[in-house]
Amino acid sequence: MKPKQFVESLARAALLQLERGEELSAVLSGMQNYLTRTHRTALLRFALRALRAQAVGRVRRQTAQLAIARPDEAAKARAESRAYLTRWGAPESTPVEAIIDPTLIGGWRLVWRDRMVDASRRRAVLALYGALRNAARYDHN
Amino acid sequence: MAIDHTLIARLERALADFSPPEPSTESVGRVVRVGDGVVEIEGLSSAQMAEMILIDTASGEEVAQEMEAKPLYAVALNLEEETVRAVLLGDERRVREGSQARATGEVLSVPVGENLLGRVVSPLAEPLDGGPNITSRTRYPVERPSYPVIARQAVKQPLQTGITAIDAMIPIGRGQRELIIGDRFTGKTTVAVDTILNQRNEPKERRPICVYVSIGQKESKTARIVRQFKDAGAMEYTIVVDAPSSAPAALQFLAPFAASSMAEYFMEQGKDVLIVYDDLSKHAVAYRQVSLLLRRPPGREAYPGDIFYLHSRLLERAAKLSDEHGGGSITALPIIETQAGDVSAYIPTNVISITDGQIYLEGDLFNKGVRPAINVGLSVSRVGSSAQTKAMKAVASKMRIELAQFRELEAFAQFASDLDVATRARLEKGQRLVELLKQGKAEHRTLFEQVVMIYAANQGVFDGVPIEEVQRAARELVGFVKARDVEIQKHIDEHRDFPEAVQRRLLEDVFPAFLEAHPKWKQESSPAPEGVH
Repeated sequence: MKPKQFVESLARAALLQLERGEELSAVLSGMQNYLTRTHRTALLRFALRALRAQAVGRVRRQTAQLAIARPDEAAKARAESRAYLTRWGAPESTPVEAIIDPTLIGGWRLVWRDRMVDASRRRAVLALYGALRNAARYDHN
Repeated sequence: MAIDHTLIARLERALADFSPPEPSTESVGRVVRVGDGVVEIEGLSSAQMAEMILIDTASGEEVAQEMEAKPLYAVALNLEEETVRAVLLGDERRVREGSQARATGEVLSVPVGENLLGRVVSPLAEPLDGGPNITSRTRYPVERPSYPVIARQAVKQPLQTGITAIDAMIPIGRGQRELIIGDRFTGKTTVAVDTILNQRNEPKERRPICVYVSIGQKESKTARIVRQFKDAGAMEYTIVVDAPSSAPAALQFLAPFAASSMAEYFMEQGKDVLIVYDDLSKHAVAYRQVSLLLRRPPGREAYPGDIFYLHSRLLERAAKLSDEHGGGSITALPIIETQAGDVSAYIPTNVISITDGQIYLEGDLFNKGVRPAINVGLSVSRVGSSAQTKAMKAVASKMRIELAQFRELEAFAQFASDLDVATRARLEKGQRLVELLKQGKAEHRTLFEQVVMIYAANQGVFDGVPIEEVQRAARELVGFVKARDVEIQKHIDEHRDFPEAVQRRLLEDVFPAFLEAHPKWKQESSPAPEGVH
């Protein structure tokens, strides 16, 4: 097994232990002991780096990103986007990270894991632009 | 500037019919790695193979900038457990780590239709000739399954290349795959381009649409070929699909498949199409590059394990459809470049086993001045005389036998003075036939010209002509026949056969008159004509 695959597998195992509720210090010392036993202590810092990357990735994937065009639309955006999260099966406790993105023009855009819903006016403007460009190119009749 | 009322009416109609799209769930991912034309995307769990993925390069920018920017697509080619690897179909410098990637739900497709004729386009049908964008309501996927056996019929109709050596001895039929193989600078592209140019001599109702696919070639070479097509008036029935050596390997890999889809549109309309892939060696190299970048395991010569399948599924799309399916056809002329004449190398043997024959061009023949440098002994057409007109069938078999006998005796040419009269005559006849088969670049011979020249050679009309004058004598003979008996050309052109009556007129009237008119070419003791066949 290549060292990169080895440290990633080890990090994944450590992350699973943390998710099961074990203490961080216990998990880390367990990792260190294992590496010492198998004469791979040089890989410890790489394993810790992989654990950090995987943990950050896991948190990022669990967090929903909500981009809102204007601050006064925040409440409406949160309410509407919550409906989509429920539909997608996201737990109630899913954290939602909200940012203001004026380039959306109006409305909001929600991303959670590999799903997105775009309820922004930017999308409507781009769709109108596409429709007019197609109409200019050829006659539909 | 005049107001275009039609355009305004269309825009007003589009505005009236427009309703903002309802928000819907889309599948997205995040770019985690980009380099060498490959993006690695995290997420996109529902991505399908060869799906088009839109990379969002305008996030955070004003909407006007997104309107101006060309969309950047990638094609998903590796679906892994947690990531998707896709090859970019544009400039990778526009992609940032963290960019959003959206699955379009569509596989890669290209616009097809009549408005592609006369155009030079990229594999994605983007114009490269400075003309307007290609717009078409019909789009075909780049990867399409080939037609099953039941939808096909036997190859029977000839495709005239205008090159005597090919039309007489290695005949190509409409719906056949005939490989053109040889070392560099042996005239492979010239044979293919001359075949396309010769199609302008076909009547419009029989003329095939031509598609020339340039894969990994120099842009100067493609430009020169396009200029040739334009000067000869061939562009009106030709599409040029260009993926030069400066294009990303992914585009070079896609080019022949995209061109095949464009050709299939016409085939399904019942038309005949001729498609030239120039060349598949560079195509294999581009696919190897893409596969290695996608971390697919390398096999022999570092090619991926499915390199055979790459070319077999491409070439199987060339077919002759049954009458129930319209009767259209695609004839493929793939080109393969060998190194030092090695036809037993990996890619050449793969493609030889797929195609229905090969035209083998030799460097030695080329350097000796035999051009086209076709080694008739090693070249073959597996369709054979089924794809020949009756006229050509009547004259070609004798010439083939004469040439085969000449090749066997050629080694003895150096002992010419020690040979018996019959052997020497055979050698000289063979040398004259070889001289007759030489043709200049873009020098096309119609069916009538080829039949008359070969028949005359078979009957010994050129036996008294010095070898270096055979070409001139043949051209003068053709002109003489046209002037003396116009019905002969009319018959061959219209009926495409060569009955005994026509042969007799040539033998008994035209050939003797020609030799009387050119006494220096009359052999002192000409052998009696061998009779009508």
